[in-house]
Amino acid sequence: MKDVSAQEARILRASEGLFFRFGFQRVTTEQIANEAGVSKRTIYAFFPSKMSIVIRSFVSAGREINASIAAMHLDDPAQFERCLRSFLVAVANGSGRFSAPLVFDLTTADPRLGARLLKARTNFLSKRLRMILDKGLQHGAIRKSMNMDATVVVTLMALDCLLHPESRQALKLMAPLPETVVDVLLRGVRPK
Amino acid sequence: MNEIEDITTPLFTNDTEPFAVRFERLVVQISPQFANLRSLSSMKEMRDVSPNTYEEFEVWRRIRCAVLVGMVTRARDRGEISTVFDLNEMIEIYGALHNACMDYSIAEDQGVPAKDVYVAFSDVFLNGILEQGYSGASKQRHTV
Repeated sequence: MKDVSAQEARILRASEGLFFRFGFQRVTTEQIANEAGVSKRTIYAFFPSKMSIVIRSFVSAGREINASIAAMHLDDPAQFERCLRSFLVAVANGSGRFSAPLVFDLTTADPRLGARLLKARTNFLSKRLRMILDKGLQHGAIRKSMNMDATVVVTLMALDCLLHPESRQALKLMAPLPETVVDVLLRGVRPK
Repeated sequence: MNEIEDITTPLFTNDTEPFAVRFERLVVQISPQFANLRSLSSMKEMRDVSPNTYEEFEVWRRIRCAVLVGMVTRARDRGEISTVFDLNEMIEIYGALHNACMDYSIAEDQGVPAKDVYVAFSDVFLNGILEQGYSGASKQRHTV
């Protein structure tokens, strides 16, 4: 018997790669089957529709973020900066699989579901970032004077517009290194 | 565009005031005007309906960006901005984040007023998220 979870993961990886390049609507189940090296029937055994693959992909990205948070030592004040940095990088890496063509297709193929998925993703990330920042406040690692809700919005914007692979390609001058982006977010440009 | 120039030119050129003060004022003062011009929908419409106007706007934007670079460069020479970061990278981060702040829908989805987002943007850009005296900070740089 074949390893079921490995097959499912292969289908998911193949689909994510195709969706990233071509969006949602132009990718066929046959293409996914070819790319994953499985039959169309096998795909349907795991995923009743293309949309269900996308939903699983969102869920899987969320699980990866949760796993990265679970591995953090957030209760240790000395580890806080490391935790925050690894969260930001995990979000940037996870977001990279959702390309502009995919997002655009999702919102046109099924506007309600597309909008719900994107909103759910933003809420998911906001809640977790807020939780981490609140922990930082308790440790005295985060500036108390900041508007936390607005800071969460700005930080997530920065991840999308500066660390997402597509955004980095679109930047006109040069894409700052991810380390630099995170350094600016954490330290600011004012000399200390 | 004229309104933006009227507001930004004194801020860009008056080097007697500290950079941080001018920067914070810049973000808050021009954002409403800039948002009208630079919102994603208006830019898309301009590009589709009137490509020449769009190109003109882009040329104007690049010129204003160069003036901003001048302000930042002088501030850095005076020690008001950290020399740790590359100037062009800093400008790119500023520009990308500033444009992102123009997308009201993101802030609205989160129930945060647009003005709060601008203020938080300039605060984070200038001062960072971390508390300056945080003891674990200095040892853990560049761990991404």
